[in-house]
Amino acid sequence: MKKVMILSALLLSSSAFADERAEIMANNCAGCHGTDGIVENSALISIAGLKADVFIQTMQDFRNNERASTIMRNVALALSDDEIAAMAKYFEALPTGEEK
Amino acid sequence: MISRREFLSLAAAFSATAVLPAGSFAANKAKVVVIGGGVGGATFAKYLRRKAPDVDVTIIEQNPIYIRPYGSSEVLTGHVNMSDLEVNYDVLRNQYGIKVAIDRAIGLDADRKIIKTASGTDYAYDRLVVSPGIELNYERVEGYSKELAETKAPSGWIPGSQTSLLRDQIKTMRQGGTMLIVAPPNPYRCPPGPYERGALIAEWMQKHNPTGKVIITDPKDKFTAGNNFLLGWNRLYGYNIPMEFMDDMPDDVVEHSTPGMIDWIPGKDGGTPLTFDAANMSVKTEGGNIKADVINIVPPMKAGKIAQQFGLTNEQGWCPVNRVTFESQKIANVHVLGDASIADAMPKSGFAANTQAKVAAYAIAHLLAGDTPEQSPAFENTCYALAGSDYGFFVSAVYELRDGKISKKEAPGLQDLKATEAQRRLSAVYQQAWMKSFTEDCFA
Repeated sequence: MKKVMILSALLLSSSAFADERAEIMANNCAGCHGTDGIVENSALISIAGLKADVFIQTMQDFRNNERASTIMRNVALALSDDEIAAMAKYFEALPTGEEK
Repeated sequence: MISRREFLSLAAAFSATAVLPAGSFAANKAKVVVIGGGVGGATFAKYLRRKAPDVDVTIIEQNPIYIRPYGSSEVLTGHVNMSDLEVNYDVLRNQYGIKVAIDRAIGLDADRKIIKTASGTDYAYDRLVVSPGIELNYERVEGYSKELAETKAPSGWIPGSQTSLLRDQIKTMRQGGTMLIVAPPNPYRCPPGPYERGALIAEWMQKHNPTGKVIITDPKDKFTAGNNFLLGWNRLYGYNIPMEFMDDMPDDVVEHSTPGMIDWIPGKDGGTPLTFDAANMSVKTEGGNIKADVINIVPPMKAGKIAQQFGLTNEQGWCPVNRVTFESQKIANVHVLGDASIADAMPKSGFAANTQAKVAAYAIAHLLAGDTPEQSPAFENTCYALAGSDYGFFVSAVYELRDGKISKKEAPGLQDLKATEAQRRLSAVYQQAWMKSFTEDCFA
């Protein structure tokens, strides 16, 4: 029985539930940027597969008003640097629409 | 022999890593039943199946087609048709393997963990999710009733036949007529909604009924994105901004010499509604009697009826929940999402329900697997709103848990009052684009 528990714990920590907070935060983007960061839309863009440094720079530009936005400045101001970095890493690893 | 809990834990672990083909544990799959196929229920079911594909998920929903409430005021001006609000469950069924039973939940046996439905079916669950939206308390406005809402003075707050009726009444209103909107007390679904509705109808009147007028009577003294609305109304419809709201307003605000097309009467000026007189088509407020040609009453609200019936609500009519798992504080293994839940700083909006549903889906995946959910979840809300077709702004916030309560993270939450015309236009473009992207994230 003990083995069973250890096995499940290992499987869980190594896969689906790893880095879960970044994934939970990234899910909050999906209402506009699509499930898994992919959206087909006239105005809103996909963010899956975006290079992490581009993601981070873009968020900094939103914060500093160096890039025009509507809600994104406020979102970028609400998120910490660590949160932005974790989300950048998460989105970079997602396949883009073409790769899927 | 392993216990059921350990078995579920093992099954969920295998499913999450796709070690075994789906269906291997078919007979003993964990079962989650979702009551309500709106934004909260649909998003929850989709994200749970993505996270834990071996969990059996059934949505019990009364209507085969969902009519989305967000954006439904655009029906009133003919910008969209009723049919544009319709969303089906095909993708949730076919792509995500979610069972959607068109049925009505009528009973809960919390000890045996069974839901009974009107069709006579019993649904066993390991976890039950109730996402029932709101119930309109028509009777809390004296003289008003559901029957009058369906025949004479529609609320149109849950879209359907009342929305079409209201649209037809506005369309056929006499030239120079008055439409009265009665705004609700807090808390209610879609905080900017009554004010956006008023603005969109004023814009429509400029074209089709230029001597018409919109009056919003309100028990409140302020409302969400209020300054943005008042400024937009000033620029577009000749509204004069009260002095107490003039701080931080940009320089182009003008004092109009003639009354504008839109008027807002806050509670402190007698706006609180008291009684509706259907025979005379008037509403008596604390400040006096307002007669109108079209009366749109948005009544006070509480959690959807099924939540009350199951004993999930508090004295105020809303559902207290654990903020990590959304498990009810009243009944174990039952979770409540969306408008019906008490989510502290979060508004009762579709976006809020959508992000709550995802957090709850992940938490329940963990609970079914017998382990601990992420203890510091994050939520978000974005509501784009319009003062006119090309004049948009927004409310937005990121939320986290602080001392067990959902709290707004420190950041500005509104569009700057000094936003340029281009920014306002962009918000309006995103408002329309969001209708599509958001519906897809919930239902496809």
